[in-house]
Amino acid sequence: MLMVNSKSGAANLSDIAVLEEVALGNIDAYGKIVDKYRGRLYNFVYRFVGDRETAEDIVQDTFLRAFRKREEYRAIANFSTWLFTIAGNLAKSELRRRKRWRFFSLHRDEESDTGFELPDESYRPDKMAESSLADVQIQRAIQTLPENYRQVILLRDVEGLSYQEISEIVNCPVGTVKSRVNRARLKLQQKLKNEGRDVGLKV
Amino acid sequence: MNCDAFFKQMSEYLDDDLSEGKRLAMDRHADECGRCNALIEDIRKLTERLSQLPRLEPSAGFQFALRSHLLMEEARSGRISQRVRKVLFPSAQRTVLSAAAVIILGLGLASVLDEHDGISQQARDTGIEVSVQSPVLSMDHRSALKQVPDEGAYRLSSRYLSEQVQSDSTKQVQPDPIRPDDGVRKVTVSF
Repeated sequence: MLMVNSKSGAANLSDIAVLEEVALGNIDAYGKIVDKYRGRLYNFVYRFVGDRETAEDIVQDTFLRAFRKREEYRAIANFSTWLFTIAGNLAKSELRRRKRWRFFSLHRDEESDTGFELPDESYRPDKMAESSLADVQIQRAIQTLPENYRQVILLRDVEGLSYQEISEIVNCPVGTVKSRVNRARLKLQQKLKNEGRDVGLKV
Repeated sequence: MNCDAFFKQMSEYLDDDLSEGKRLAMDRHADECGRCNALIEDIRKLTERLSQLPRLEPSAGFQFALRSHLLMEEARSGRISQRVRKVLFPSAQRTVLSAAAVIILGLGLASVLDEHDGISQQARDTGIEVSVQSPVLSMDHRSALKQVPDEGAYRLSSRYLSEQVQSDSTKQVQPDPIRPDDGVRKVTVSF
């Protein structure tokens, strides 16, 4: 039985035939699943952990783990939610590992504290378009949010998932998710305001 | 409605997830409170901005690396299942032979148990004591040879004997006497 949600209902129905092929060990069929969810998962994980290489590793690990469980696909109600759950858990584990490393590390600096790498090595604020600058500032601000708030605001406002789906991913009641999203938005807005960033800029 | 209650329901208000009554209450407060009105507008812009953030893609080598891992995973899982099959069912021929051996052993065991039961049943039916010597399995053969069997070990079943023959040699078996006219025809021989 599949849960048909507002945004991913049609997606789930079309996954069934492909997943049946994957359950038989068809790697080419699994490639279709990868193509479909790769971008969304990477976008979410990258903005969550703030590091490109780590995000790729996590997304690869997510797809590998999902492939290992291919014989259990029938028992999975919502495949995309399940992928985001795996990715989210791996990302949290990575952040915990970083915290332990920082605790024992003798060298600390501002950049590593934020855990966010700049998307472009030739980062030049004077050369970048205003909107790109705003994107960078927004991503920096997202990185300062506590993990629980960061995860839900990315899933809700960046990935567009429903509260029900987010509730399954983070394994919390819907009411808790709504409360966290609300607080995350307020914190983010306050952070950007303090930095003097007007988030209402349009491209 | 006060500002605290307004803050708590802002997200649901923006997501249009409130009942009609609560939404109207929020509208009224926003009209009355400039600070809350500005805040709700800022949050609305923020959520729109977040939804417009550029979609990031993994590097060009991501797909190739993942496919390599998947192929290795498939090969690994194939090897594991092959090993399991090799141990349990090495080949079709061996599988059949194994199954046949199990069946033969099972039948043999069943027949041994059945024979034991048969002898016991016969003894009960005839009322004759029959001794069935059980094989000594826990003893080595020398100890087994030294072991003195009891008297009943060599006693034959009564069904094999037409009469009881005593082992005492002093008793002579007396033949039956021949009677003259016992059906024997006399023949006179002349030379």
